[in-house]
Amino acid sequence: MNDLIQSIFGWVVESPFGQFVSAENLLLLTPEFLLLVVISVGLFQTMSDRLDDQKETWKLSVLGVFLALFSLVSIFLIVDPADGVSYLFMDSSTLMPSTLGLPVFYDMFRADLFSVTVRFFLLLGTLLVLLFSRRYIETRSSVPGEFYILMLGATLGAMLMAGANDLIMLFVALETLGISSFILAGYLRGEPKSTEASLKYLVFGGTATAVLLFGFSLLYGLSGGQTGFQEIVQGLQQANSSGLNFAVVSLMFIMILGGFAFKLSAAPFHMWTPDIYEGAPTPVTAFLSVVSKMGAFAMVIRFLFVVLSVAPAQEILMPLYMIFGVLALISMTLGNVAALKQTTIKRMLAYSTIAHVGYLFLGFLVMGVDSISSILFYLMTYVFMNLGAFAVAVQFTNETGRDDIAAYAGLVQKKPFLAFYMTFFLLSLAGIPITAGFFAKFFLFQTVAAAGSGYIWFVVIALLNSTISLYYYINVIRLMLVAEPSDTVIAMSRRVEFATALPVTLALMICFLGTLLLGVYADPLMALSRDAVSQLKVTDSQMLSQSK
Amino acid sequence: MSENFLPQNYLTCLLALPIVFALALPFLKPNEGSKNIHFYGVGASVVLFLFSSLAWLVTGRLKGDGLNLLYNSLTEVHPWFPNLGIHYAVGADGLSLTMMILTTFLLVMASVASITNIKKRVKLYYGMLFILTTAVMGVFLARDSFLFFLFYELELIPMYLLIAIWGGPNRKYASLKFVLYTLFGSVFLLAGILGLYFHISSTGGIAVQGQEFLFPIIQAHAATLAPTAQLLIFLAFFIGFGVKLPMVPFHTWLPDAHVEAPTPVSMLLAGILLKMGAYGMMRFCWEYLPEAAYELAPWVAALAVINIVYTAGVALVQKDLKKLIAYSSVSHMGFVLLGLAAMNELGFNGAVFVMFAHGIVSAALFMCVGTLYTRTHTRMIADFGGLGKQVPVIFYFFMFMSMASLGLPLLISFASETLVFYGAFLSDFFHHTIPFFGLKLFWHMRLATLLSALGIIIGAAYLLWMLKRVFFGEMPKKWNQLADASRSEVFVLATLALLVMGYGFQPALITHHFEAEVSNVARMYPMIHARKQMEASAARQIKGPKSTIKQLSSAESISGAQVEDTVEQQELVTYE
Repeated sequence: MNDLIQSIFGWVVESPFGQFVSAENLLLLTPEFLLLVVISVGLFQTMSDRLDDQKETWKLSVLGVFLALFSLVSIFLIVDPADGVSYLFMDSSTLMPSTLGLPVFYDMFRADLFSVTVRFFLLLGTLLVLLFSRRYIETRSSVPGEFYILMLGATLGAMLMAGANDLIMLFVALETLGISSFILAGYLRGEPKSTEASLKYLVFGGTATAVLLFGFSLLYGLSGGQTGFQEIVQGLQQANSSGLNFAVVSLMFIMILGGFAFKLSAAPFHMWTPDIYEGAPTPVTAFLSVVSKMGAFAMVIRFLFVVLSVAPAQEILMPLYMIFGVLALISMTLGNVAALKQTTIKRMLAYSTIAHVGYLFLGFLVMGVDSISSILFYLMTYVFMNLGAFAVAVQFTNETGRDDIAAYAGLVQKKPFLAFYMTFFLLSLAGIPITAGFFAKFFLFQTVAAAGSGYIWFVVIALLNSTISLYYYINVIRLMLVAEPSDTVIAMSRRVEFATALPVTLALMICFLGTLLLGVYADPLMALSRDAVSQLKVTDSQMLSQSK
Repeated sequence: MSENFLPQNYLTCLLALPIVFALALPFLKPNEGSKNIHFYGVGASVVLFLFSSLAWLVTGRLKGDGLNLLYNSLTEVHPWFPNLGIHYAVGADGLSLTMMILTTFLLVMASVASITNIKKRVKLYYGMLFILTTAVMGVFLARDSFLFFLFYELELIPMYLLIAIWGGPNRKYASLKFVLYTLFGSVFLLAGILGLYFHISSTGGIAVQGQEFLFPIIQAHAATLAPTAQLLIFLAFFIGFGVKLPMVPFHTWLPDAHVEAPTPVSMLLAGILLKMGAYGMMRFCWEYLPEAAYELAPWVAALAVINIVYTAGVALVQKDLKKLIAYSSVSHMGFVLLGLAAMNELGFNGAVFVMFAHGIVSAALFMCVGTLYTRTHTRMIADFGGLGKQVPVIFYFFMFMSMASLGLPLLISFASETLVFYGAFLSDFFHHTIPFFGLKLFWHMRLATLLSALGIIIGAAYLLWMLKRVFFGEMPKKWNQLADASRSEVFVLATLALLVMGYGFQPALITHHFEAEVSNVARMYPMIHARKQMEASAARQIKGPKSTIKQLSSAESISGAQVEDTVEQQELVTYE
């Protein structure tokens, strides 16, 4: 296998850069490099003023994301014929996770099963967003090209977040995602709401980042000046032998948690979410609520799991884990109750996102391999069901220019498939069986309830919350299926332009199949997420024992 | 066995058949008035009924070991989520098959009733009806508690749409109320299922690993639960299914849903959807958690009395004909609770029989109300009067079904409710004062039985009064042009009437299908009773040196021993 890698990347290693990189490093980051190449080429393309050239960028971006997806899968599934070990999966003879080339660039980045899984779904999510955003952006902006490039930039940031194993790397990745998102949110320059969204996002995001950085600086000090996750743990262990100050450790934890909660839009740090989701162009809202959220969750999972849920931080912070439970309950209740009264589909989905984040936080409350892996599984299903709902919303806005819920009345009579897809995705979000959303909720709540009798109340409240959530989801379904058609729907044409509708249809099909298949047979992905999360823990202890 | 000509995966085919029927619907092209779709719908449901009656015919002939062999051969278990121990497991026993045949039979009746009642979006209507059928049959046939829950939830969406699209003017409110109430119940149901799961996985060890959700495993291990845990899980299931039953105070969704639902949907709602609650209660609470059921029996009996008498009283003052029938339906479901609280063979058999009888009679009553509504577009009792001469056929059936409902001898309700009363009256598991917020109340199953009989009297009152106001007296002029029942309506009502009479004359025709299994459940209770008595007397003996208490306790222990003796005797008898 090494010969193969050498023959592909040998020239880089032999070049003057060779002292910084190894061939394996390059191989493991191929998807990211592919995105970089597409971004660079695309930027040249967007220099042209001609709209046709701008439109070419869409094709380039889709191709780039697709290639990145393909390379990600193929690289990590390749099995070395010599020893039968693939990069990711267990070695069949020893049943140990393969550690081939996991650390990349001096352990700044980890290409383990967890990051590869998350990166796969990030790329898939971006691909879906790109598929259904084309018509929306091209009819609203004179320079659609940059939109796609910025989206790829944001995806790159999210992908790096998924594997970041160092505070500095984490911060750089976070900012790559953040800055791209600020611009994306304000992409419709003519619309005041979009500009407002962008500015709000920038101000709020900047503040949250500052809080997060302050937490990081405390951690840096506590660990004796370390930035790598494993080094921090060791540093904390050394510092603990001479006694760690509880107040400082908790301050650090709360600062970091505040920053994270903001990024994940958990209540009470959620204020920005509805305004920005409403103001931003709908595809961007979809991107923010799925891809960006998944990247942020991956970052938080790795950080909490590798750094803070290991001794000595874990012993000190154990009593503070209840904060996750409180945030979870506030988020889900507030999100669901606020969503009841919303009149636009984007705001409703924004509040529903807050509620879903609340459910997911229950997994952090328990902080075990099972619960974290059910968070990961939930995020996977969320990619399909939420992006599906957004795809329908984008398609509806494309055809009617409206995004208020009342306009959806009677949709089934004009566009039965669109209404059917939306019904399915909303039922999945509500957690009705035979959809992915049901199993995601079930696994999550089950692991939380299994953690101890003290947690059963959280589960009961979460279940009652999902009853509340059904009210607003089913309200949309009722309007679409039951109510008499609204004027907007009556004005819709039955005819479908095949060429423009094809990408959206493709995206809808992928989302539908994903939601359905995960609802009928979730076992493989469930096992994958469990392997990924347990490997996060295993490789780490291995690394620690090696270094000792 | 030579009698067994059922294929190996008969139950799976049965569950898949309605889905196949539903999937074929989009390819049909409706003609004028969607007649062909109605024809397809009725035909498909008849096919389903015939297919499901195969099992009914086969099991009706077998007994004892042969029957058990057949049930075993019908059971299918396939791993579904191996990591979590979830299986696709379906199976049958007498109770399940009785409920299943009721489902498919009422589907035929509802489909025929739909011909006159459903005019718009007929294809979607039958699609929802078939998906609903699969979900309900799945609930009755599932042998894995997780699968059970899935089917239980799956029923929600088609039923919601059936009420929300084809319902009356206030359908938006009613359908949403139905969904939210049911989902509220499901929360408790899921909590109960998970509670059982965690208990079994923590105490069962390697032997049960990966099959914690399967019914046989639950049955074997639920008895080892700690008493408080058993009580909590029992309560979770009881509330969860109580919403569906419906049980006071969770019953208010039902009248609303019935009033707004179209006639065929009302028939299905009363006929089979409520039975899901009763079936689940019987299965999970009384079969798998007998100790908790024994402990809580006085309370359940009290709830049953409230259910019967209170809702009958509410029915008395209804102005809306359909609401009246809906409340009477709730009142009759109280007899299921009473039969379950009796905890003996007669009571349990009576409870299951009431489920079946209620399915037939209440569906027929809703059909009767529906025939009037389609002609007059009003359901207010005050708007009617003297219709007996104008529409004699409807009058005849309405009268007949009301008589059946109020328990006229030799009709099906009489047979079933008599069984419940008989069982409840003979039940002797609790006869003491029970503490009630500081008060000591005398409470006995016989008292509960007597109070419940009040429900029958009120039932006679509201039904006869209703008949008088609707069919006798002066007829308002506007009903001069009223047409009598159409052929399809007569077909539905006559078929139901035949069953009401047939099973009323010869109840054994139906009871012998489920008697064996249901009586098996009842056999656990005398043993539990004896053990509890022993424990109680032992506790008293330890407690006090005082002579009075000693005397009392020795007397108690004698009675405990006597009870045990009788239990052993009973055992001997049954084994002989």
